[in-house]
Amino acid sequence: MIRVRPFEAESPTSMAVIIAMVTLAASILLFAAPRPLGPVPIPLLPVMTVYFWTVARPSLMPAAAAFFAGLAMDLLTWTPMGFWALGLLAASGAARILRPYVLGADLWRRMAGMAGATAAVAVAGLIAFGAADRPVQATWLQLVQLILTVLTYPVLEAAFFALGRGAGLGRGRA
Amino acid sequence: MIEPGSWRRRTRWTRLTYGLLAVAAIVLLLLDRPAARPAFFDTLRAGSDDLAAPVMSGVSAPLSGIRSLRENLKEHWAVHDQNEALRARLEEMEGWRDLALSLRDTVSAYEAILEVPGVAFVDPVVAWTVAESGGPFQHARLMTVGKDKNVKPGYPVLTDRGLVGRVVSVAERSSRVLLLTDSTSRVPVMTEDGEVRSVLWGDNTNAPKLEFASGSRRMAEGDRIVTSGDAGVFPRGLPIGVAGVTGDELWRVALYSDSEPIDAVWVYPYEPIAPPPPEAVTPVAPPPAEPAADETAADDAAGDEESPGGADAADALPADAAAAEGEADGEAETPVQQAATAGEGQPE
Repeated sequence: MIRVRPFEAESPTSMAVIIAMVTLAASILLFAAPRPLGPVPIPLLPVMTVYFWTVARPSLMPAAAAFFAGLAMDLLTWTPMGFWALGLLAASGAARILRPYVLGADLWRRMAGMAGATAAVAVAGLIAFGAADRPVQATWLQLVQLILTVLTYPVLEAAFFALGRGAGLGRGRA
Repeated sequence: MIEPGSWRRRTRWTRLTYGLLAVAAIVLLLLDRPAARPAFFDTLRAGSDDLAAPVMSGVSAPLSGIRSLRENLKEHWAVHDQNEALRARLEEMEGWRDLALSLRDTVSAYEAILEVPGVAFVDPVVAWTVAESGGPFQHARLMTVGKDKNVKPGYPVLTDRGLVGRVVSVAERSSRVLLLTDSTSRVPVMTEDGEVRSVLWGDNTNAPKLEFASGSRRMAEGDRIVTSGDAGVFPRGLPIGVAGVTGDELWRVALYSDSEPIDAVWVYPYEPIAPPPPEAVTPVAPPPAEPAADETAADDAAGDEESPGGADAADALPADAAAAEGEADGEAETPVQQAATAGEGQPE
């Protein structure tokens, strides 16, 4: 059974920060990139990235980083300013709350933790739309997007662990 | 080792940070309402788009490749259906081809019996053209042939699709072609059946206008437009394009020659029909006086004889242009002649 545990404390901090920030920036760009295939639901990559790094090591993904990453997403995706800032902040907060329950837990519990963070983002989205005076248009595409986010999280998690190990951040799993 | 007090302080500080940032996000959302959005936000977004555009295009390139692949696959799957449709179309066209060949032979036979004179084309001159920038016209091209190949002003220039324009000036080894699309180009045209006559009026767009339409029926969408030969500007029957109404509710012609780049062209030597000298014209006695109603009818008939373009064309022609042309030629011209020659050699 693969169990997750945080990268070791002796990992080089500057490298860890760089990797966390680069993966976050890459996930934002991938998410915000024009989609030539039309309105295809894709997983919420930035939410997954924030959640992963917050669970793995909270010091790598402070709340301010999630907030400003969300603002960058708002600028790039032309959503109301503060929408994704609040969403990623919710993901980060949920990850901190759930961290004791998912750290070192099995796959299903980790996915359940991701589902909890995704639900927090959805709630934050509803609040944000209300604050921005925008009509809430929940569609099946958004529901599929949330489900896809939870289902594909293990893939991203494995990739990030491999990246962390390759960069000498520690074993990352036991 | 972390002290219990320090841990509590850190937790409190973390909660405070989350709270402050959440409030900041909500304040931003309140500010970004559609009713009262600060212009600063749009400026910020536009700036971020400019910054991110190169990265975004790089990121989306693989996705574009996937889309191209998908479209190629779709086309691949549709090849069978397209093939079937093309086969059916070919069979239909073969029938039309046989009919056309049969009609061509019939028409040739009739022309031979009636001794109808054809257009006196001699061998065309083949030339390359290049776009002209900075000449007197907005839509003109330069050709690589001139007086050395006996090219003269007025010669029609065609591609394999249709008429392009006419030669307006000739040098020793080059000449200038005024395109049909130029705002100074006026060409007398008609529908292929010859029932509607008009003037093709260049206006610097890709589809010139049809002005002064008159005839025994109305112009229809899809009518094929050819030169009418009126005014001797061009020989009769050179293919030009297809008539249609555009968004500005004007009749325009989609030029055949516009469907491909104008590179290699043919210049057709053509001498317009020369009018007889003035002394050779036999004076016609004035008609006897008749009642007013009959006079009107007679005038109409006389007008129709003189002008294929009809009275509408004369009425619509700018007075100064008509006067200027009349003075220059020293003799009366039909409205179509006037319209065809108006503005020639006068760049905008």
